Amino acid sequence: MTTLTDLYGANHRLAEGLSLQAAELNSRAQALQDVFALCVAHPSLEQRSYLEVGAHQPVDFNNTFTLASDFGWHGVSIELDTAHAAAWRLRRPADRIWFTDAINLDYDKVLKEIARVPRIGYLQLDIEPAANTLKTLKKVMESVFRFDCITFETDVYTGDTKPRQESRAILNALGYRLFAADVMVEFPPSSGNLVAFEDWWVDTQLPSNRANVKYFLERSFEGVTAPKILCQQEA
Amino acid sequence: MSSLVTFALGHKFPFKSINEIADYCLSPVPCSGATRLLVIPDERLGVVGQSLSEYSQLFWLAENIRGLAPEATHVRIVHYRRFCSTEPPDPKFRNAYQPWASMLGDEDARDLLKRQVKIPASGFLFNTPATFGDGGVLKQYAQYHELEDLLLFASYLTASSKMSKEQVIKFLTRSEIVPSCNIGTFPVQYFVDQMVQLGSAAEFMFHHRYINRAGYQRRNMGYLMERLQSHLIIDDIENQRAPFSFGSNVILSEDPASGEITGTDKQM
Repeated sequence: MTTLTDLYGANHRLAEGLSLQAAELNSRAQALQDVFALCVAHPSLEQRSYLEVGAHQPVDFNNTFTLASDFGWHGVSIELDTAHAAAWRLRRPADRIWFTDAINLDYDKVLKEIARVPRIGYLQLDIEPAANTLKTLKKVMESVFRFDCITFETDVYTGDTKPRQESRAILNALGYRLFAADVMVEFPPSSGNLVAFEDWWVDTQLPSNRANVKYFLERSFEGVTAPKILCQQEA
Repeated sequence: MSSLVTFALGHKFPFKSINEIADYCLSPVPCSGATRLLVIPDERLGVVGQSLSEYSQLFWLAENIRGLAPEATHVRIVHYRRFCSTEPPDPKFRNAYQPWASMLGDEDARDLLKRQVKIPASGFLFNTPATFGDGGVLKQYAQYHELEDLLLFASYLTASSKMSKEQVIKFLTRSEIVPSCNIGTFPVQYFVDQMVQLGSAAEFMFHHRYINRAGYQRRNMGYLMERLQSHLIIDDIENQRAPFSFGSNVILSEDPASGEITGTDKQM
């Protein structure tokens, strides 16, 4: 199991007031998306919130499990497949999850359940196929809420480039900055090699005087794995 | 070892006491207040699905309860503002408008639920029946709904051999009803079997003689299911297939002092 301490060294500051020495993270995400969210997020615990679209399993390969269980984040997860309901009840009994179709939700109503101001720490968009993820992005962006950071699963390795292209146009126009394009991961069912599957975004409206925000707004990566992206922070 | 799973049904979940005891909340639409929400759209059963009211979600639940709670031996059903209590609430909470029910605020309901015997010794908990008096279910149904719906439904049940003539006569002449009869605690198998039986009867909504109504009566299949389920429960008790195990009907209110109930909750 890879820990952040392995990646960064024990004294790396993950976020303001949060060092890895104090809280060694045991990421359950597929490509350290939870670490990305922790790095970008506002230091105030109250603002550490998430909207997880395409929650799937509650713990393994889940991007919000560690955020909720180790770092006190709160949020709402959306999943269509009720086959995961029993596992969520058992493994994450206190975390809010709605089993419903993400595409047609009113996200203002959903997010008002968890936030008093129109600002959410982390948005995950990952449903199948990527064309539906794109539809959901459009729906989410109809809301008044903004997100400190976003991971959008393009699944561009499938050969369908439209979700990536359109999502980039939408998010650029809305003032989000593409921090990591075509993040890669090993995906054994499709390929034993690294495949590009996701884009990571940061909100340019975040205060750039925060050191970690400045870092994300000044750098960009393309076609590399998550550990390589995040390890650059050490330098 | 016995194990209970609790499901709350509703189209909103404003009461913390209900959300806290619910392992799952079931709703036909996305709605506020639930921690673990399963959205089961009425349209799953076609354009007439909404006529079933909460039975649309209950039929889905019967099909899926083993997957949702494999360990459960018993199931407790509550509504977003209604539950069946093993302990009678203090008489001061008795509702003037609905003498068969008590009306509590969220905090009082939370205290009451904390003291609940989760699974009664008999394994069952039904709401305490009320009596209609003369005219039985026919007269009572006609008072609030379209009598024609009940008569066509009864005719369908016999014509399709889903119930015997004798059973239908008993159903139509009942002078007692179990109010909000789908709430309570039941062995999982009993619940599933009863929902399968009701689901079969509900196929009436696909029959050419079924009338798909508008307005308040648009939930007519739900009203028919309530009457039929109440009959099935009483019949099971009379024939010792289920025990004589009754609890108290509790309604939650934002303003319990007023005694006012809104919308469809005015009924039993």
